[in-house]
Amino acid sequence: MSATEAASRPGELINSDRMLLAVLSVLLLSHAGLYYVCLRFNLPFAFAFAWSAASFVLDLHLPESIASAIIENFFMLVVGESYAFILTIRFIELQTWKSPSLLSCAVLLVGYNFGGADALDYCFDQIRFQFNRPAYLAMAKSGEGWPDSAVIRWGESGFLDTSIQYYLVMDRTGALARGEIKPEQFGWKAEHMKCNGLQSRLSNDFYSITVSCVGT
Amino acid sequence: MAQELRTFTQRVTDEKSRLDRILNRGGTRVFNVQAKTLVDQFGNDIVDANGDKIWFPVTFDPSAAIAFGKSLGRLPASTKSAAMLLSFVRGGPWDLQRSYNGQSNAPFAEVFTRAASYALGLVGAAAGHSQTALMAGGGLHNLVVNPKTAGLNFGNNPKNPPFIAQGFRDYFGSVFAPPAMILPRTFQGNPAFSMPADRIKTAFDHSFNGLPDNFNRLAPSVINGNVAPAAGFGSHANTERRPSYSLPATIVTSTPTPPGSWLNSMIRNGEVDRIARSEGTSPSPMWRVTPAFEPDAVHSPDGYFVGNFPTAFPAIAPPTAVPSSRNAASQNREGPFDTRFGSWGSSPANTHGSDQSKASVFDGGRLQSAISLR
Repeated sequence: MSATEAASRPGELINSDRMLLAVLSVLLLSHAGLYYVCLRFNLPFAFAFAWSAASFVLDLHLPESIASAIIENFFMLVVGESYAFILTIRFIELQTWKSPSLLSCAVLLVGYNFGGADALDYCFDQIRFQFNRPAYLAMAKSGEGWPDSAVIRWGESGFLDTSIQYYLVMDRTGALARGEIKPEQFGWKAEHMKCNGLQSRLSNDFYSITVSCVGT
Repeated sequence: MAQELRTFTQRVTDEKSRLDRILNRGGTRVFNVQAKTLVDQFGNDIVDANGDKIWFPVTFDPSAAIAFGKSLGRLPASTKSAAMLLSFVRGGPWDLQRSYNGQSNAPFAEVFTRAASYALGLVGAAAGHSQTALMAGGGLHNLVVNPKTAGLNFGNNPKNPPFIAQGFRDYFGSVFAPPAMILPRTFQGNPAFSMPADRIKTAFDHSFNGLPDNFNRLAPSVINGNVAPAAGFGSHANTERRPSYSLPATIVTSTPTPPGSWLNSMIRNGEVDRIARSEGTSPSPMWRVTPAFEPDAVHSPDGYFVGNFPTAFPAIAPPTAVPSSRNAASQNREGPFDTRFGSWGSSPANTHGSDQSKASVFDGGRLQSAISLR
């Protein structure tokens, strides 16, 4: 029985392959969402999970370089390896590549690892901005830069000498679009910190700015 | 080897509320932070690998950090990591770079960067984490936020791991042992008798035999940290960790005495120790073999001989550390002694003067001070 057949069988709304896709989607969304919330609202839970995973890996007494590599990619290793195994079995069982659900799983896994997480971050920014747009406009109006500009704090977190700051910036002067102002110029910066910035456009006037800094 | 206090000026480029102010490139916030160095219970400065002192917020208390770590250690593993990270993230109570001058979530003070890593190692060790786990925990945020700067060591900024490791080592090195509580009637006997016999044997290369030569060696050994009486560290209600005593770097050599004497056997079986530790100690036969240097002999209020601490150790003890009279010892408490050992707590050095409960180091000077207080 092919996946196409299974999908079209009446009464079987969710087959196992679709369930695999749903579970993977939830996992990736949760992972990206958890980091989004923790990084912006200075919460430690994502890092606590990661640290617990790190402790588990360290208990295996692997060489430090290998353990370090595993810890840094723990989530993708576990989820990716598990799904690679399951997808291989399913493709062999189905004896065809033409399973939209399984192919979607593979695409999602690869895509998440290569830019997909950043894309999800942008989606979360958009959702947050669009849902609260009236409130942000009101804040911009009450700011001293109205009607040309407004800089709204959008989150911050830090640990030891690393920090990451988020800003929602309204720019009607076009300085950001023209590159006259670099994103790393936003926010605070200690004397010997090195900062990198990233900007992404949310609407005609609004930008999401991310500034990540580390001590030197 | 003295605790220092200093005010550092820090600069942080301030946040801007308007784009035109960003273009003006102005707005640097300048602020001062009060900092101190730490001196361990052996009188050594806490320094980095280059010998530079590590500066801590003046309110930082390593004993409190250890106590906090121990409290985390009692939590279930599932919540321990979260609780610890919650304390060290930006604005957390142990985020030393942003918690100083009595503030929390203050502007980032770079001068405390090394101290923050050190505190992570100290607290983490007390909480029961392995050093590798602490490295992994320390690097997680940087790994996500600054993957380009993340080093091979679990994503840590390469500058941080040495200080995490140092804090970790210093916990197990017991350099921040619980402050010594000099209890009343602690020194009912000579401190040699309140030490385990094996510790004396390690330092003296033979058992304590009560001869004048032993007493001459005992005081300098206490001063230089080769031996330290167990009495005086009696209050360990909230810690199971005992102060550790490093093995003597230079062991005083002397001619071994024949084994099997009655005194040796008493010390070996702990009888002397029990006698010296027990409340309401009555004069033991030991006192008869204890040579008294009358000007420096110390008696308890009820007239019992407490101990004697010869002052003539010119090669080892500086005159200020072992004064020749009780009055001098009392005056010495206010001076260089406190400057040297400072305060582990929230008050800077020189501020607790005669607070004997703060005593955390057991050396000749403190021994003398403790006795003179009685």
